[in-house]
Amino acid sequence: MRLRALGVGLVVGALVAVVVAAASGYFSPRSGGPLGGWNGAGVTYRAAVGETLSWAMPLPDNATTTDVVIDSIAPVGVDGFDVLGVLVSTDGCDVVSTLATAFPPPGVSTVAPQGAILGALSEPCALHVLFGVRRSQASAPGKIMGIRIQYHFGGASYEDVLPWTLEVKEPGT
Amino acid sequence: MRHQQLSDIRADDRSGRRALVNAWPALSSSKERSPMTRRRQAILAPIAVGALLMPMIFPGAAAAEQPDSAWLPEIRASDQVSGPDLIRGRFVDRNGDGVSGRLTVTAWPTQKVLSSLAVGDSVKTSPVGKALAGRDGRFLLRIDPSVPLKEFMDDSGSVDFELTGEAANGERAVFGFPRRFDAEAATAWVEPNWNASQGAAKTLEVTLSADMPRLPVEQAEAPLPAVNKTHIVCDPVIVAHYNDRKGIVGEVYSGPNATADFEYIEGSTSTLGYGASASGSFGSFTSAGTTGGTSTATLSYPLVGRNVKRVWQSSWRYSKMRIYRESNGACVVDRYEVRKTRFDASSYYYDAASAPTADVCSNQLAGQDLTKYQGTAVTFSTGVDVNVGAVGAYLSTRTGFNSSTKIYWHFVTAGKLCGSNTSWPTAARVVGK
Repeated sequence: MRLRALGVGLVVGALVAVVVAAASGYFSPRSGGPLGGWNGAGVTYRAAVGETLSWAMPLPDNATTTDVVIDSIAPVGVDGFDVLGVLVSTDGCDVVSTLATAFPPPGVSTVAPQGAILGALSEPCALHVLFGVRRSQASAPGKIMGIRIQYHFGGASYEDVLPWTLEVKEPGT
Repeated sequence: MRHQQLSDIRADDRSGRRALVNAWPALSSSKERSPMTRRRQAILAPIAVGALLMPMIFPGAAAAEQPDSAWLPEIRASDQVSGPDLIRGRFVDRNGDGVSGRLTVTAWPTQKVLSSLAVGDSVKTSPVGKALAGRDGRFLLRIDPSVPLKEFMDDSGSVDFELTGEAANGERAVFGFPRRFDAEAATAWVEPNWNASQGAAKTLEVTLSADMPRLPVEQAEAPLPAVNKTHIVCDPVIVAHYNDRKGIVGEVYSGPNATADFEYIEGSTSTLGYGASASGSFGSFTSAGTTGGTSTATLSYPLVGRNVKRVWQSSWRYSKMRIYRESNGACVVDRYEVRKTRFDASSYYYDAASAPTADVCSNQLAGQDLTKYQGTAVTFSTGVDVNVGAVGAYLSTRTGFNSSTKIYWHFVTAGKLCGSNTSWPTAARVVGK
């Protein structure tokens, strides 16, 4: 009887530990994966309110011998933009940083980020991320202050924020 | 009695020869002893001979493997303290073979303190850690947590450390490195601009080569020892200043379609090389590592037009210092160093003959501006000229591993931005085309 009570107690204790760990973020993605740790880079462009454009940035190379599988990519610190979508491209370095056209941009082959693979020992520009944005405020530039990437690598989940920015100002400024 | 003699052999920590002398009376009269005694002596003899040969076979063993109570008694050895690792590695001789020896870490004053010193002033340094390298040369150093470090920390918490190694044959090695303690990197001291997003902190690992000869004592000047409460203090003394030594802080290559700009903002970090020499004579200085330090002024460099290949420089005061060591109760000259002691903040430039090779190109539209905060640091191996009238040393600069240096391109017409090793946001060097 005592043994049974002890067993139940242990199970309950383990469950509580799991719940506490989950609540405290123990199982949340790690930072500092193979795509993290880069310094800032930014693009500034000029476009009128209501104009749609695509912003493309080449993701960091995967210098490891293990594939990186993308779970999601999202802009961080969005201000003065309507975000129309996020896609990735494998068209290489020919993708232009800003495309003042539509989104998805014509002439660029794109897929959804989820499940995209940045292969082991990848070549430069192996994977671009493209954001579709439309300026929404006349009084201030549109801004994106970073790019959050969630991905799987080596059996673990990672989340890194690249300090890469977009600023779109009023033409003539 | 014989047991005592055996203990003497094992316990002697400096000289196998002396150990044999201590044991010799017992061995030399073995014919007069009992069989039991002879058996004991048969055991003792090879031990004594081994003790004699040890210093010959392993020259560093006697000095390095036995604790020396006179060696920095105020500092606890690294294997007796806990806390984050500062530096690890291998201590080797001129042939690259591991050697045992004594390793000491010293904290140097901040740039703010050094900048106020005049020729003839002493420089207050402090030993903060020590360790013995084993026969394979392996070592690991931690800071003795009881040693106050705060006065050696700059505003960012970074400390300029200097690791000195002394092999049993007297040859030495010197290696300087800036490091910062960050609570997020609990297991190791980190580079001054490390942050958690850069991944796990890694302990600095070096191969420390003992290739600096010790000056004969008769050639070493011996000032009166300065004595504090516990031990002799042999602080370095400034011998000469060399003002306005130029060092590279950045480069811009605008290309045919863009204008470009470079900013070296207050707080920017440049790691500058320093040199060491046993004799201090002209041309004898070799690279001894780096010192850190942040700029205390923002330097604005003018916008450059198209097709410019510009290398931007700033300037520092370097100082030649005489470094002492304690020897038999006095301070004797150990070596000379030439180190950065002040940020002079002048702006200079020169135009490079050619741009670096950069073949990973991304297309850019006309009217587009791109900004790159310097990511991977670029080391300019001859970045600082401390040659004129001084010591004959060309030392390195390493600039831009924080986010306070930035390069900016404005594409007047459509063009390309090309990275030297990968695409422009993460490339080490970037060239407009």
